[in-house]
Amino acid sequence: MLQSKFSSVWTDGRKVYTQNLVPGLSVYGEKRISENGKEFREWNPFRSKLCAGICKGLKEFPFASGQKILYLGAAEGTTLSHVSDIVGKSGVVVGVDISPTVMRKLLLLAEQRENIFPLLADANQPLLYPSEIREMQFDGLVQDVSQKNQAEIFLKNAKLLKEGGFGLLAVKARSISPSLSPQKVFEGEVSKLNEMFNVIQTVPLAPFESDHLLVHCRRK
Amino acid sequence: MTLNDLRKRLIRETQGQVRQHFSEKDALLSKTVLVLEDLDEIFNLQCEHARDLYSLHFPELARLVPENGLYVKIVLGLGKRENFSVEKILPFYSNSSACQHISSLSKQSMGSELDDSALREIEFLCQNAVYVLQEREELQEFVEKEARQYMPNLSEIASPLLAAKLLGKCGSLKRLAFMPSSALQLLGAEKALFRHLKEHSLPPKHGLIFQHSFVQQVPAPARGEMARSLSGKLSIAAKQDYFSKTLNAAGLKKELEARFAQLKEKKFKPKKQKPILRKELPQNARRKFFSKFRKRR
Repeated sequence: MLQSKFSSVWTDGRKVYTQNLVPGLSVYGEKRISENGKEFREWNPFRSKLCAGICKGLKEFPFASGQKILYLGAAEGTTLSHVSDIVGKSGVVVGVDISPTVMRKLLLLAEQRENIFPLLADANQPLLYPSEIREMQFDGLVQDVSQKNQAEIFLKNAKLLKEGGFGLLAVKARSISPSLSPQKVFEGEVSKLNEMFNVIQTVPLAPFESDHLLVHCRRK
Repeated sequence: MTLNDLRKRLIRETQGQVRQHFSEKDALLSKTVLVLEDLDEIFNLQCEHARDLYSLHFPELARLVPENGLYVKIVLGLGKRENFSVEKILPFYSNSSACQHISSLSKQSMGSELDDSALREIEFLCQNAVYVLQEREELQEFVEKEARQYMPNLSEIASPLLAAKLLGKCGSLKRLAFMPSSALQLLGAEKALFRHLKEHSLPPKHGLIFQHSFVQQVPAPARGEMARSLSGKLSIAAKQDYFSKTLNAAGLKKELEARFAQLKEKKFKPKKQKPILRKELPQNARRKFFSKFRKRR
């Protein structure tokens, strides 16, 4: 039946699942299945770039239970909920988004899951985060914001990442330049990361997302 | 502070920030303006259906009463053709000769008879249309009142409704205040703007601003200049509204009116369109002409 692909991520050969932190509840209408007394939530690669990366051949999966994750571009919490499943009760996921409209949904999610810390803030200005967040020494930095200065935002927030901590950046070529070729854009963005990170793998996300690249890197 | 305490504090603070954001009038005004536009569409759709259906019974009425609101009220009030006496039509139509005309046509109509049950359905439809019309009128009053209160200077220079539409396009008063006046000038003309930027077509001169009475009333060749002057003043008014809520727009309005008067009197040479023949162009002029079609690498 379900086999573990990476830590805390399961697959039945076709679809990908995470173990539900809050059994009995769906977050965005996704399917749930039960097996061996545990409940699993289906993860959709068309809606979550992390899942798309897994389906497209991400070799190392840096997440583990108990970790502290900083998630930029949390939006309504679709992907974040799966990260919350993965890091489990002892983990922490700080979800940052700039929009009050989507933060309303994220707040409702935070009521249900005790490892979600919602933060209405501009990821461009991490110095304005509350001091407890800035001092948290995160194990992982996940970013999915469609902004022109994506790499810059990532590097600014990387200062909150501990040494050797992992980064997962979803690069959207069209946000950076609608006219340049995606290849050129990706090369440019990845080279910007080199000063603070060692790039482990880059995964193009087509057909799940067109002109997107998932970058897995580790802080130097 | 434990992690759990931190979490609770963050949730409380974030809720407060979200609450504060939505208590600003920006969201309320933006959304009600959208409702207003949709109500127009809904009303028009209902009136079309009412006309279609009732015209099975009294087709001549549709042409005689072009105004939608009046049409549905008459159908609702009078019902079947037999009821179309002059005295009964008069309360709706002040023009007595028109009432005579309608009344006489109702006696010789080429329409068919209408069942009571069918009439009931048509009346239901007309009643709904009338409710939508009432809602629209009341909502417009609401929007205008709120706009005057939230953006007194913008409402003074543009009308309160136009000010609310600009706010809706922009998202927030803060953005509207910080926007360059050239951007304000083109709010609502995004399609034309990006077409100009990507495909090098002619740039738009105005967006929502086009609806302003000054832009409408100047001669067509002066519209661009009027739009530019208007957006300049609106930009200042938006800043006045964002940073202080006091009504200060009298001086601005005077300057704008002077500019309007000036542009209204301006004389323009008639525009001559000469076709550009390839053979006539000297070499460098031809290159210049085609450069705008060459894709930028």
